[in-house]
This record gives sequence, structure tokens and C-alpha cells, in this order.
Amino acid sequence: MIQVYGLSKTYPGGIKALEGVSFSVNKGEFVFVTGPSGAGKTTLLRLILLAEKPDRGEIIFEGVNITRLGRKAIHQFRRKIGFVFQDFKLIPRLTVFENVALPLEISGYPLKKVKKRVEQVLMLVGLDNKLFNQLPPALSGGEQQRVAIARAIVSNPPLIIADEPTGNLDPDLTVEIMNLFDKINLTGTTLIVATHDRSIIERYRKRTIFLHKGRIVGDERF
Amino acid sequence: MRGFKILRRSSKGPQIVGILTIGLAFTIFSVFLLGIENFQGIISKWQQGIEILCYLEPDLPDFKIKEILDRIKNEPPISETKYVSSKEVKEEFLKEAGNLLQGFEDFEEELFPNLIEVKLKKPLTVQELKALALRLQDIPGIREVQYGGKWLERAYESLNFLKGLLLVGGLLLFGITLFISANTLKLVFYQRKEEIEILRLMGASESFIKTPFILEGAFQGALGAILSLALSYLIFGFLHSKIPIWVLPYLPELKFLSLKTMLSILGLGLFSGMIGGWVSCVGSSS
Repeated sequence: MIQVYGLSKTYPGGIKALEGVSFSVNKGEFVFVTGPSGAGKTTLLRLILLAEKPDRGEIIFEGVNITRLGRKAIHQFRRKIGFVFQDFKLIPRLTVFENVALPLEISGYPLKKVKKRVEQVLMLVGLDNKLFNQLPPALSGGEQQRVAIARAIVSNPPLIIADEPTGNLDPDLTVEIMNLFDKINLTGTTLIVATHDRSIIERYRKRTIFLHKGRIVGDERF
Repeated sequence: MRGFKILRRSSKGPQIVGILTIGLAFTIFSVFLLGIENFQGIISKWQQGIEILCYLEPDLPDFKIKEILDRIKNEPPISETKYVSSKEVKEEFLKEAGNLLQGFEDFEEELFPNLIEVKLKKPLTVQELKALALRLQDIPGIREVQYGGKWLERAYESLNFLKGLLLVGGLLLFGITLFISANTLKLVFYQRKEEIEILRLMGASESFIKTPFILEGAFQGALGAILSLALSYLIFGFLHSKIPIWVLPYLPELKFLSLKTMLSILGLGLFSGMIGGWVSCVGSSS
């Protein structure tokens, strides 16, 4: 599904975030990207999302070199990816329902079907329907992350990228959220999850790419 | 549209300040426009009442006067002519002067020339009036033609000058509205930067992100223009009530801005606000 070749990124001030990173991820795979702070995990995910441009290297997604896409094609590409971040990245002025409906509206999903699909996904991630009309700041961290996951999967993207999705959650909630990711992966969705939490990696025993100072130092398959 | 909802639910402070500032700028413009429209009305009133006086050479025989009258009547713009003898001119003069000239009733009639009063079918432009006066002046037997053209010419020159100012003012106002809308919305845009980044990551197109800002700009501009019309109406009412009663008969009926002008102001607000909204997002694409 994704092939990454020789990806490098240096930030202003000469800070090397990634250097010559190459790997590939198959369709339906669940991959952890791990490493200490500053290893380049977030940069790698942002480059795959095309939130930043690499200095060198190529990313091939479903056979297309996405590093060379034009603006319109970038919009189309991003609609194929769901994302989940540590800080949830929900829009505080929109209700839970509206936040989850956003990707559908952006991709022009028939409006009549939006309600049904959003409710279905919110139920799937285990959110009580009393919360549907709440604004995100009124929810707990775990609930907000469930909303973010619901938003990521609502349009059925083939790939989900998660950057430290459990970083703000307690151990019990971490397990709940990771179980949810596992469930999503079982439906055939590819997942790339960046985490520095070794306990998660040990518990779920998925393929893990180890990054250190911007380079891949290990790629273990369990 | 969710993008619009995000914007509508953001803090209203900058938008309100923007609308008030646009409203005040437009009020200055509208009051100026009000002055020009009414000044134009005054000039039109003068034009309607304009009369041409043709002073005749002394001692013209009756048949010559009749000949002159016939030639004047042949001019298409002229509706009516009236011959006034020097005797009648003197009587009229003394009547109008009233007590001021008491004791001077023995003026020689010859001091007052015979004249022909000419009325027009419809108001003419300054150029048309000038041309007509020149043609009348060429008729043998007519010594001098007076029509108050200089007055009218000066009034038109002033009006054209004011219209020039109006154009400059309009352009300036367009720029001001654009600047205010753009900056107000830029502020909102920066406040919402993170949310816009989220929308972009979800694959939102530029039009999905920018359209709400353009509509918001149009809304601000239009609301500012409506506010200015309301303020101008209050100012007009106030000034109207302050005009001394003795001046009123000399003025045409003072009117508030015409519907066409009001719609133009609204359109200017809407359009400049819309461009301001667009400018606020320029250079923000990722």
C-alpha cells in the first residue's frame, strides 16, 4: 500500500528530522513506529499526510508518487487517510456529531446518508448518543479520542495514521483505544501508529519500525 | 456548510468592530452623496426656471420688433416669447424697487431698453443654452442677450468637481472597506488557523475553507453599508430640521438618497467586503 524511499527532512537550523528512511507497508497491516522523543516519528507521519514536504525521497501510495501531487490531487489523497493525534485535533466550536460528519461533507458524501453513517460510527467507537450534541471541551480525554477515531474512520479510508493516540490517556483508556484500533484493523484498514509507549508494543505485538535520530534502526515483525 | 458554522460560532468582537468601522466610513460617503444629489436638485430647479432676456436696440419700428419675435419663435427650444416695452420695464423696475426709489419716478423711459422675454420648452444644458444665446445675439436688432448662464456654468463646474471628489471618495471607501474586512477576517483566520489546518488535513478544498470567509466579508460589508444608510437618514432628518424656514422656498424639495444610490452603496459594501474576505485568506494555502 505504501512504499517510502530514502525520505529525508531537515528543519531550519540544520535539525535533521529524518535521513534516508525507507520501508513499505502492505494493505491491511498494523504498524507501530516507535523511538525516543525527537526520533522523527511525527515528522514521518506528517510527511505521509503531506502536511510537510520532504527534502528528498519519495512516498508511493497505492502506486502513485504522492510527493509530486498538485494541490487538487493532495485534497483528494488526504480524503483517503484518517488521522488521530495525541491532542485529538477536534474543532471545539462544532458538536461531536458535526466533527465526525466533517470528512463526509468534505468528500461530498450524500447529505441524506450523513446522519445515519455518523451515528453508526459513533456507536461503533462506544460513544453514548447523549454526547452527540455536546461540544468537545465538555468531554473527557477518552471520549474526545473516541470522537477523533470516529472521525478518522467515518469515510472508510484505506489508511489510518495515528500519532501518539494514547499519549494523553490513562492505562485503562489506552487499552480501550488500542483495542478499538485493533478492531478497525480487523476490518482490513491499514494502520500506522506512532508511539513511544513500549508497553503497548509489547502487549499488541504488531510489526514495529524503530526510529532513532531520524534513521530506521530496526524493523521487527511478530 | 460546516466551514461557515465554524466561522459564525467564533468570537464576534472583531466582526462587530469591522462592521462599525465600515459603517462609519460609509456614513461619511453617504452624507457627501446626499449633499451632491440635493445640490443637483437645486441646479435642476434653477434650470427649469431659466429665462432668456433679449435687450433690443432703441427706437426699433413695430414691424422690426415683430420680425425679431418671429425669428425667435422659430428656434425649436423656445416655447413662449413676450415683448416688454421700455415703459413696462420702467414700471416693473419701480414696482420691484418699492420705497427705495421714491422721488425718482421721473427717470427717462429711454434709460430702460425694450426687451423680449423668452421661455424655454424644457431645461437646456449649459452648452445648449450658450449656443441658443449666441444665435439670438446674431439676430439684427438684438443688442444683448442675458440668460444667467455664468451662474449655471459655475454651478455645473462645482457639481462636476464634487462628482470627481465623489469618485475619489468612492474608490477610497472601496479600499477602506476592503482593508477593514481583510484585516478583521485575517484576525479571525489566524484565530482559526489550527482548525483550518485540521480541515486541510481532512482534504478540504480551498473553496471549502475560503468560501465562508468571503461570505463573511460580504456580510460585514453589506451590514456596514446598511448601518451607514440608517445613520445618514438620521443625519439627513436632523439637518433638514435645522434649515431656517425662510430658506425653504428657494430650495427644491430636499430628498434622501434615491433607491438607485442606496442600492449602489449596498452593492459597494457587499462587493468590497467580499474581496476583503478573499484577501484575508490569500497566501494561506498549504
